[in-house]
Amino acid sequence: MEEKLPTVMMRVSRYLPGEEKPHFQTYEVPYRRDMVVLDALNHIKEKRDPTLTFRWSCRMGICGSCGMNVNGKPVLTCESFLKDVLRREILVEPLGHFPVIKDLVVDIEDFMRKLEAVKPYLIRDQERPLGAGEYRQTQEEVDRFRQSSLCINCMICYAACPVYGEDASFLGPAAAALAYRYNVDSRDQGAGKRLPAVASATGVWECTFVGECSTACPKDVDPGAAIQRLKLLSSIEVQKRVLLPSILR
Amino acid sequence: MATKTVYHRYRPHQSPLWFLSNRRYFAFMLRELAGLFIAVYAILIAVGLFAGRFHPVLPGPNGSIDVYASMAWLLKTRGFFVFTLISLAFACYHSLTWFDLFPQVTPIQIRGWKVPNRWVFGGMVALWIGLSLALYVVLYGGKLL
Amino acid sequence: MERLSHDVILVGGGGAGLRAAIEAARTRPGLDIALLSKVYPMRSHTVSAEGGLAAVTKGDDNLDLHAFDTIRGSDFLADQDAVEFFVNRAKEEVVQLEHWGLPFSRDPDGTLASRAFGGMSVKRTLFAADRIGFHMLHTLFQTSLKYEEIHRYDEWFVTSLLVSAGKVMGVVALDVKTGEMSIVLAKAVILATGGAGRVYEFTTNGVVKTGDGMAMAYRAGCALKDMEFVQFHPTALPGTGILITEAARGEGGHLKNSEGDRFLKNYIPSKMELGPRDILSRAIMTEIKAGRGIQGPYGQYVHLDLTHLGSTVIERKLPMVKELAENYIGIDPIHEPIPVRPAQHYFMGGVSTDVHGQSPLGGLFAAGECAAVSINGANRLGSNSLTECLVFGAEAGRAAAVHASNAAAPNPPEAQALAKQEEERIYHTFLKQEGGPGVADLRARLRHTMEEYVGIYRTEEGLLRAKQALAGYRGELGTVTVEDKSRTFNTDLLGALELDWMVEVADCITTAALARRESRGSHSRTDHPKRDDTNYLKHYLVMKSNEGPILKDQPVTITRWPPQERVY
Repeated sequence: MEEKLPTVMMRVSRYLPGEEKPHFQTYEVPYRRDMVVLDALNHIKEKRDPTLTFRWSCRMGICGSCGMNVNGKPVLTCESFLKDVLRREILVEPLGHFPVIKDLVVDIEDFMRKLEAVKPYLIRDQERPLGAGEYRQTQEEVDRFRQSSLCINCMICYAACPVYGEDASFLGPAAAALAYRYNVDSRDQGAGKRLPAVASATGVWECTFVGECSTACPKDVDPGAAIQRLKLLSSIEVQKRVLLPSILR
Repeated sequence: MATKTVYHRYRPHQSPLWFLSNRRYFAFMLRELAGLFIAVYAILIAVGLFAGRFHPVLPGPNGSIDVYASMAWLLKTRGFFVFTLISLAFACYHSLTWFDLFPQVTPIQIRGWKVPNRWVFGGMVALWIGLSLALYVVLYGGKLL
Repeated sequence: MERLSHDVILVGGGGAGLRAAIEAARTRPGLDIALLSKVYPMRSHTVSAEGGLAAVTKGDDNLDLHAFDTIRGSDFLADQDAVEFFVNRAKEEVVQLEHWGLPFSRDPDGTLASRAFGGMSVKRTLFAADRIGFHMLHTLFQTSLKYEEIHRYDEWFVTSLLVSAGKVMGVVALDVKTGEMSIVLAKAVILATGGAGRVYEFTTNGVVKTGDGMAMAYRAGCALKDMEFVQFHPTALPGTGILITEAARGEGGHLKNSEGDRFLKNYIPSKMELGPRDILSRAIMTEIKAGRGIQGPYGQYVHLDLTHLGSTVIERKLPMVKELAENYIGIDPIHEPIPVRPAQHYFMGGVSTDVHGQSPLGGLFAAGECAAVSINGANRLGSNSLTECLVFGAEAGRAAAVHASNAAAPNPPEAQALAKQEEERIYHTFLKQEGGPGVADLRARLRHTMEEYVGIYRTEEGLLRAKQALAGYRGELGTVTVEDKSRTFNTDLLGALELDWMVEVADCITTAALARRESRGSHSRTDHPKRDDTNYLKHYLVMKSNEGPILKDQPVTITRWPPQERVY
């Protein structure tokens, strides 16, 4: 006597390279209250259609692999519970604003280049020798950049940002937040070196403060605030360069 | 180094109506639109003030145009009254959303203690009302309407 | 087929891989280093580590104590010269990581804060709230961007090692995005591919942990060491297997059974919740078997109670634990206890290496979870493995760079033929198979077999059943059917290749577990419940032969700590 479990309908975007555009395929998936969208996708791949392709790994919201657009909103599918996105047909599409390689897999090379462009590492005039131990940093100093250090590189903020959607040359929220994280780290002295990437026309100045990046961010990094602060900080930095001779800086 | 093969991608394009898909996007576009109304209103006031001080005269099709007189007439029309009301509404909307965003972007700290966002918002609203009242007193000497 | 050439190849871009790449670049600037990872490096499973990393940094601690804690934790199977090397290098690595920008949690005087951890007699685990793995991976990855020597091949899936004249000369790899295969030659190859937790049904591990490097090394003729020792972490969320860090216990959390009793007082009263993981996992399973577990939709569990710690401690030091409990169980740990049960977590075993990361096979190095030096022996102490990634990642990077700068560029005439063979195997065999079980189906059965018979408690009968089942799965691999036939991003095919390796690794684990007729550390034989130093104070090396896995002995290196009874 098998009880028929309640099910949900998943409408999933499919695409193979060379096709003109993606099409949708609908699957029926058994429903449990504690299922996440990723569980549904895995069920489809394991039991219905092994050709369905998507990225995932940790399933606990820390690796950043599984970002996709669910019902039009960019989310981490491993943290997105079916019960919170229930509809006649739950729509699953690849992460918005990125070129699609196949099915739900997008090309993130643009983001990787931007990550590198902001020089995301500690830059110092003089390194402290290892023997002298750690740099002293108070918990308050850590708290200044702690929030912006929590970015898992899921790129949901890029999918949420209409400016990036319009113009892919925009530096974007996550890369800017990472630049901010290092600029504001008390151990770092490299804000000047990050200026070209940050303060350019395609840098923070292209941001019109829509604010959706911070709303969509699954880890509360608040990249929107980081960008606005970078506008202020880099303005000050540029003014200093113009007004003060290099000796005084 | 590896030579990368050229392979196909599907490149999605953002719809020009992207701002209709989400309440926050729509609110953002309204905020931007508000700027337009505020700008037009500000330019008109500036032109009016300039005209009131220097009384310029422009050549027109039926003789010369007294700019100040034209402005005074415009400001009394019903259409302009409606435009003023709309601009006032937009200005309030823009200002309040700005006050809301400001503390999120620039945290105010007094000796390590962060001023709560609500206090900053309230403080800015109070300052706004206070300055408006002060301006009113200066202009009208306290006489009501 | 494209033919690429580098000085050093890293296979795997996690904590150990990135650390090795950086060190190779620093050792010999101008060296040409390739880092091939089947996922973008930020996705490596290092990212999920939570608790902290151990090193002697404070005045109340000393190296001998860290060494002894580690050796006792290993149930005296760790090679003591390696442990001494490890504890000596630990502080330097931690300070280097801090200099590279990791946001460690701090004491009021601005120095690194430390917390208690299982099996450590002193607070020596340095931490960054409860996201150390995340911060370590991102700090290492971002720092690696500084070095022009490191060329990354993201989402390149290495399918086999290229062996010629008994030496490793490079790898054959598949570009996941296009399906195209390439030969990548190198003077030294470092495996940093992590463990194989995914061979078990209930694991904290992400889907990438399929034992790739271990299986490739084994097939290339390299020995794997200590494969029978698989760690089960006491506290994972039922159903998902998501890890709840040991730090929750380090900050004072209590484990309670269905009677609300802190049952560890009957198992390890001197350490209680801070006992070593193998003892705690067995204790929890024993409580559950005795009927004192709590029933849930995914089986029985016990409670991890943090309610007495207060919101300040939880929000400051365990924010991710709070987030995970709320998201996945709907519980706020400030007010309610968290349901937990043991899950597979770590592999003490792996590619056999010396302290310099050098494997018995020329040109092949290994570091991190995929290697066994061994410092962890029969059971690893929590917070030692991240330090292990750094210490031995750095050492393997250094040693490989030196090796590469003294070696001639390989140009084996068989490279083309070997690579063609690989392409045949994958695209004309695996991909062409029809009518057999699907990848997911066979994989689920493998995982269930391992969970059932090669888990926390093992018996001769159970292990023999597993051996038999594995032989069956090996046969089924001959017809396993990959339904996705496309060349682009074919995760169905990659799943089949990984499954092939998983069966290999599972066979090695089971073979070694059968042979070890004693209980030591994490290896518990209910038919041989005592430790037997007379016959089993040794490592088992598993090697490939025509008859399947064969075992060789390797003595344990004892320097200053003669094996004694493991008491706490």
